[in-house]
Amino acid sequence: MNDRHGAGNAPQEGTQHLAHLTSRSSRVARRPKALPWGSGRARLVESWGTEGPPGAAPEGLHEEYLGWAAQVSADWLEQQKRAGAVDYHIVGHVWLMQRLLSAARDLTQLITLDPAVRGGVPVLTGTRLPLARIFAEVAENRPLSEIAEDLELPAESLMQVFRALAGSLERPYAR
Amino acid sequence: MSAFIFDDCIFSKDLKVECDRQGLVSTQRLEDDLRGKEDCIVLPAIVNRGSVLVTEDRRMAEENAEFLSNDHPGLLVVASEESTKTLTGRLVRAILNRLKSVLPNWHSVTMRNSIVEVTQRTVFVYHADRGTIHYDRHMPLDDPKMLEDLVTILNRNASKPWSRTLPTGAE
Repeated sequence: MNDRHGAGNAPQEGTQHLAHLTSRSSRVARRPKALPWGSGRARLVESWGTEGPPGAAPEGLHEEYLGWAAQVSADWLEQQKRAGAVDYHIVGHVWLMQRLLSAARDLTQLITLDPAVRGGVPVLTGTRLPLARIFAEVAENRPLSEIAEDLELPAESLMQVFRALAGSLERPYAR
Repeated sequence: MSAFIFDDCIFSKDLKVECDRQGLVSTQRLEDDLRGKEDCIVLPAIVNRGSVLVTEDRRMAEENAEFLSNDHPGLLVVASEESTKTLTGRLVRAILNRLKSVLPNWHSVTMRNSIVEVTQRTVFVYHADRGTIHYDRHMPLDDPKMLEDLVTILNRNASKPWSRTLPTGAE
């Protein structure tokens, strides 16, 4: 792995614009210009108050920022934490994005990402069924077995998706 | 009797059972050999079978308009107007039932050569010509003139008037 980032996840190809974030030994976590740091970051933390982050991402927490959080290496983050250069909320974002990234790795066997199939929307492998629909069906309070029956799919294939997600969120946060 | 094929992304057994119970059209799920296949394989296969494809995939038409540029049986796209509301079987049924209620003769209305997109509140009609999707009209479902307008535009598309208006020597 990249020495700059310790043994964790180094930024991947195609994220050069984020490279400067982790390449300096600065005590302050650097960011691309558009990130909600500065006043945006203050607003972010302020909006969370002492009760911690709300269920949904606060306004202003945009994709570029989350992309950054997914790329930061665990070791680099640990160093920054020890140096007091990043606050607890940022650590939380990084943790969550990295776990979701880990889930994505586990899910690669179960889902198909192909621009030619359903316009690139992630689908359950071997079908044209968007993964989003499975989650939306669950959010309508339908049991997985009922969803599987309605979609005429093996229940096991749906359960595997949830198992992969569950497994990715088992790791403790901010130890 | 018109034939409709449900794309994998929109299929639900409940939806099919509901349609079959009405007995006004014949319905079918996308065949096993087309499940998981690319849009550019699914779309021409369904078009050649003479069935209307019911899908939630609006990009399929946009990116494969060449397969819809000649005579085709029609494409029905069910979409959610609210971008945060993902389509579920229940929502698809609600949208289609709303369309059926404002268009009582839906089963006998031609969709030939039309791409019809229906949402919770609106119907959009498009057609494809020489590999490009062209917008025709959109009509709010609660508009009293909607029924007349929709049938007019669908009948017009069925006769492909645009193919007769090509300048001399074109194509």
